[in-house]
Amino acid sequence: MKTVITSTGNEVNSLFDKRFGRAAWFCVLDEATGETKFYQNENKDAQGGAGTKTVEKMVELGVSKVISGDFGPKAKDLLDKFNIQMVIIQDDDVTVDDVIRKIK
Amino acid sequence: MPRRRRLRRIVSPPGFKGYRPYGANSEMSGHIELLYEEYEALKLADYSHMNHLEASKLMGVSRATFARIYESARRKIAQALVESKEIKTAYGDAFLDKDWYVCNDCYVRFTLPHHHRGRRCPICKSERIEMVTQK
Amino acid sequence: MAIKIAIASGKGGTGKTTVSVNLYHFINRLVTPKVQLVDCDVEEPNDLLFFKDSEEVTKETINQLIPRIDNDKCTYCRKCTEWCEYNAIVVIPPVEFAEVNGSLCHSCGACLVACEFDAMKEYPEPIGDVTFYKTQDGNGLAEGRLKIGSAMQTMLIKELKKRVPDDAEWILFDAPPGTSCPVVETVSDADYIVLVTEPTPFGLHDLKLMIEMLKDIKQPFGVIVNKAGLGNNDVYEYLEKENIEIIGKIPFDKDYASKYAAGNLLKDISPETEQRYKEIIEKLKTKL
Repeated sequence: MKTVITSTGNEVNSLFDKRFGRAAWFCVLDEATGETKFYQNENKDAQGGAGTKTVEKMVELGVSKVISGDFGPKAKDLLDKFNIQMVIIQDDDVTVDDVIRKIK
Repeated sequence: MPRRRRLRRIVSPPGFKGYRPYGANSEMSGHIELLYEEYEALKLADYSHMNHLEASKLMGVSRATFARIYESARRKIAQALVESKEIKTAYGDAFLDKDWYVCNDCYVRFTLPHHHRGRRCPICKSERIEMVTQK
Repeated sequence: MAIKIAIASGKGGTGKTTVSVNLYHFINRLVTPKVQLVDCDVEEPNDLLFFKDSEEVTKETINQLIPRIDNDKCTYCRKCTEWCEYNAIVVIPPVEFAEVNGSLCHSCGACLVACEFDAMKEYPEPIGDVTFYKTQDGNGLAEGRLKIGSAMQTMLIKELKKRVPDDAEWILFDAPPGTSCPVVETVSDADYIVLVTEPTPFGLHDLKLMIEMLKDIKQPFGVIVNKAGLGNNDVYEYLEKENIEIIGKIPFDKDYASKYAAGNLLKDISPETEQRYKEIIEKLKTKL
């Protein structure tokens, strides 16, 4: 099962990004193997529609769970439609690795 | 931009779908929709005898917002009784929105899509989760 | 051709509406009854409040065209999403999903050109109303009122301006506050812009932003200092240094503020107020 954790950088020690559509990077975690892979967010600085574009990406990556700080209403509707689970973590100053360790 | 509505916490949704008056033709007089948070407000204030401040904290809204929800609930019930209307419970806008759940151990919020079996927190796997509804 | 004057300010609450409504009143009395007031603050139009005996003449719903995707024709090629400047189209080929997001769409029509499979078709969606009112004197008031939740202010202002009849000699545009697109749309084709400010730090800060914007689009303007006597002298020093003309000063008056709040701006106007607007109108005439 693939899980995406929004990240400010391209490694597990990077801080968790609380933005979804405007996160800098996406960390794709394979929960079975613990393997991680990072993708840069091309829509980070889009004028509008960053959230929905990001959902496109999530569906293409075949993700079933997204962990972020919040989801906009449009992104939420779409994620719902594709049965992708949303998880909201509001903690400050946690790294992607901290989040990964919490899941385990 | 329109401001987004805050999440309102519901400890447990009503255990019924509605009430219907008898001895009156309620189909003729229509129905009112009692929102989940209105039911919750009424329950906390008039059944659990909490004061507004306590109740508002429990629902995660300001005291003033709680008062507004509670007032709305009472008016709807009164209207239903006086005008022999049915009472139906509704999420409000929530049927468009996915239900949110909150974990009482690690405090994350999350949705539970159909294929995610088992009602557990996706982070800490706790079973102590409850529904939060949005309106 | 009608003389077009836009009344704008960076900061909200400086007196755009007060000045607009008064100018309308005095131009009607002193210059010509062929004066038209246009409330371009489509998010919160309020000029109407000061014309208690006004009557609605016409009301028109303004639509924007939003495309929908015909899933039978769509091949999920994503060309439309590449053309869409506003990220308003979501196409996800693996799950055969294609949808236009109405709240992001600017009705530019690019996707209709882009689509090679005739899968895009436009449908009207209301964004607001344009209403014309008859007032006791003058040509009347035109008002745009944006539908709650719509973000198409600029488009509605454009449509509102299109509908203003050109038989008026003077047209006054009451602009929204700020310096964003709806304001640019309001002031862009005016012959002269009256900036209303107040002598406070906030008033000055936003006035500077406004002046920068007007210099950018090369539009002529002058400043009315409203609520004169309040705050400090910074605004005057700034205007003098920048060599910007003050076309009027309206002193702060608490009774006047209460009259505004009660909607009685045009009732029992004091001789001083009248004199000030007379002078402002005379100055305006020399600018055109």
